[in-house]
Amino acid sequence: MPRGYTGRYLEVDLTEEKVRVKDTFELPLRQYLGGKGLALYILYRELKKLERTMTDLDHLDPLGPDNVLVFATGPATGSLFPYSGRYHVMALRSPLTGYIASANSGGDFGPYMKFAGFDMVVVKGAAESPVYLHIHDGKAELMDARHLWGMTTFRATDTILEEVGDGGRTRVATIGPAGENGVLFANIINDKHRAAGRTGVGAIMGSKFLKAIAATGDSKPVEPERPEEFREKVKKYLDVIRKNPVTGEGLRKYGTAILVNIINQHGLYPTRNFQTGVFEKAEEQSGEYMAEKYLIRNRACWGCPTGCGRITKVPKGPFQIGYSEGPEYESIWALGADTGNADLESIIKANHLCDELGLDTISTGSTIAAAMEMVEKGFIPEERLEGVDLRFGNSAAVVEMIWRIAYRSGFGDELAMGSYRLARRYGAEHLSMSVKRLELPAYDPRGAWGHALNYATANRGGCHVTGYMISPEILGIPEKLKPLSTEGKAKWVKDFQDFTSVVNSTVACLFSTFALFADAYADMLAPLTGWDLTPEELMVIGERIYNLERHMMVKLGFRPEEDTLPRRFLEEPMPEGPNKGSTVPLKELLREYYRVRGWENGIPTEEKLKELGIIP
Amino acid sequence: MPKILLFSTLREKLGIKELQLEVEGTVLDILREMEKIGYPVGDLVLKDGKVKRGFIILVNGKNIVHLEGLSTRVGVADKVAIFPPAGGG
Ligand code: SF4
Repeated sequence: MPRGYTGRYLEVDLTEEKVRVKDTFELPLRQYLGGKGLALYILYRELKKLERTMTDLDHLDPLGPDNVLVFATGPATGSLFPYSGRYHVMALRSPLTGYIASANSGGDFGPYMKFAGFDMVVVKGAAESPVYLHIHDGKAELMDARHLWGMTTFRATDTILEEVGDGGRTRVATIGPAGENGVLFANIINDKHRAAGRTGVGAIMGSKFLKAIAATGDSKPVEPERPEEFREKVKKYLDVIRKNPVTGEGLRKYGTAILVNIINQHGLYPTRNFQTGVFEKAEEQSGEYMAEKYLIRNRACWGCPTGCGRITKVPKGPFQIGYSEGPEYESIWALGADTGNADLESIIKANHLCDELGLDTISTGSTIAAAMEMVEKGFIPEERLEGVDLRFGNSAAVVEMIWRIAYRSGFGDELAMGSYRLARRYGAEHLSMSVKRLELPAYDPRGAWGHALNYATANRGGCHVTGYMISPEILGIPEKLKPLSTEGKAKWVKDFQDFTSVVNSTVACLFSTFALFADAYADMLAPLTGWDLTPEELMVIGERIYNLERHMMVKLGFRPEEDTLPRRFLEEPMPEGPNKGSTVPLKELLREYYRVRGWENGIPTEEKLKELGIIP
Repeated sequence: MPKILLFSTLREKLGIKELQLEVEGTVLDILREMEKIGYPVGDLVLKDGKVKRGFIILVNGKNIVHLEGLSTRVGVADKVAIFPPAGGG
């Protein structure tokens, strides 16, 4: 048996109010590792079952009892493998995108799932009234959560810790009012400020009446197969991490917000709903500015040698707040430049509220930004706004709309559907900056064409962390590529998407990849698990996972024309800055990408699926 | 007069955020000029006459790697931005 696993996972049927302990070793671990990969494998089995019982998978309601939700750790989670304090959440269907839901989070919760005795928790069905799940000592109980329903993520966490905290041995992942109320981009918050953010996984939990999961155990690192070799390798790579200027210094000092100035100076910091790539007030929301004015100290996830997390405080004024964590780069941008908002204090407050109410910051900010442009261009009549002045740059309106979205109050109810459905309702689909209905993150694709290709093809939808091409195209890691060029980009995107699938299945933090690549992963995973893994085998595992996800999307109704970008990036040249005049040559990029992937029109061929062992 | 912008740890180490120089020339000339007026930027950014791994130098938003490197011309109306290695996401 490989090491790195507890060997048990939990299947919870909320409809039947039953929990079953299952054997992890019965699963194809070496083919899918854990985390995202293994969760997908389990979901694939469920999808095939549904195919037999449902006349059409179109009937699979993402917010109905048939949807299946998986919380998954990987072999590295809770071990001394650096950056292993993370877990992955997957579901058959996202209420926002309609395809596979996928989200990753840090903090402590992932390792504590393992310390509680489980590699994964698979949730099926729906409860009749609110419950939460408590896992500990390899056992699990469903607990009444009627008293927790309606609580914010912070209060729910505190209340659960009071009930089953067991002297600091417990960590909690919970939804807030947004998840309960079915906001399509509601997230899951663990350890109060860490988010499994994207694709509406919080709404799925809410639809199942599952308020939270509490995991209790002792923080004891997982035993590797070859302890001495593992320790040696970990030591070697910790040294690499420490000496690397990004993981050893930059991220620790300034957090991810260090990117604000960099991306803005490169002219791809999306401003006012991606109308331009230069924000005139970027400096005032930069990592440097935050470190000077609002930062108390940094904070690390479990087992992280870098600690990019921020602890912040706004000492006075209307957005005063005594303690907060974050905001990180994406949140600053979404609640800042994207809405034309320059006021960092309001951004810190808005980010705090998103954590407290359980909202994905990217989709929240981007949906507000889309609404602002629709107001500006006359698509949304003033009277719909109920007095909220939804104008670019109005920081108070951004904060106000967060409450309204979470509680689906007034116009907030329309924003709770996300920017795509909102824009469609008002006949302005082209103003939703989303791909596959997921709002795009903080890089204008007209300024980095490889990143544009990743946006168009990411299985999750408009996502940056599926294949983070900003790394080679802008930051020069592992080598510098010309951003406005198509040359070689398809292969880079494929490799990044495949390797990221490995990272999310290991499970480790994506930021490790500023210093560690597939060889380092193989080097540490081998003595940990006992498998003689090579970097090449890991890349094939990544490719398998990525193809399985796409194959499942096809079954869920994926159409080739959905591998695209909003019209703006294809037709409206960037109006100013270093990328002035640029549009994305997507057709050319896509053609090459499908060729490299061995796909036809966005769909994996039978041959490819066979080659990867996905179908017999 | 070219405008020079500095970021993150370079600000701490050199004690300035931005400055305007009286000279034009190549990027290398600009760095040398900064040293002359008391900002030892070369020690921080260069190694063996090349830009250190991970450091980013932009002229008007374009990375000099894709221009003429340290020989890229900087004119009176140009903007030079210098960043230490960075990552995020
Ligand atoms: S780098 Fe940041 S997000 Fe990643 S594990 Fe460390 S603290 Fe968490």
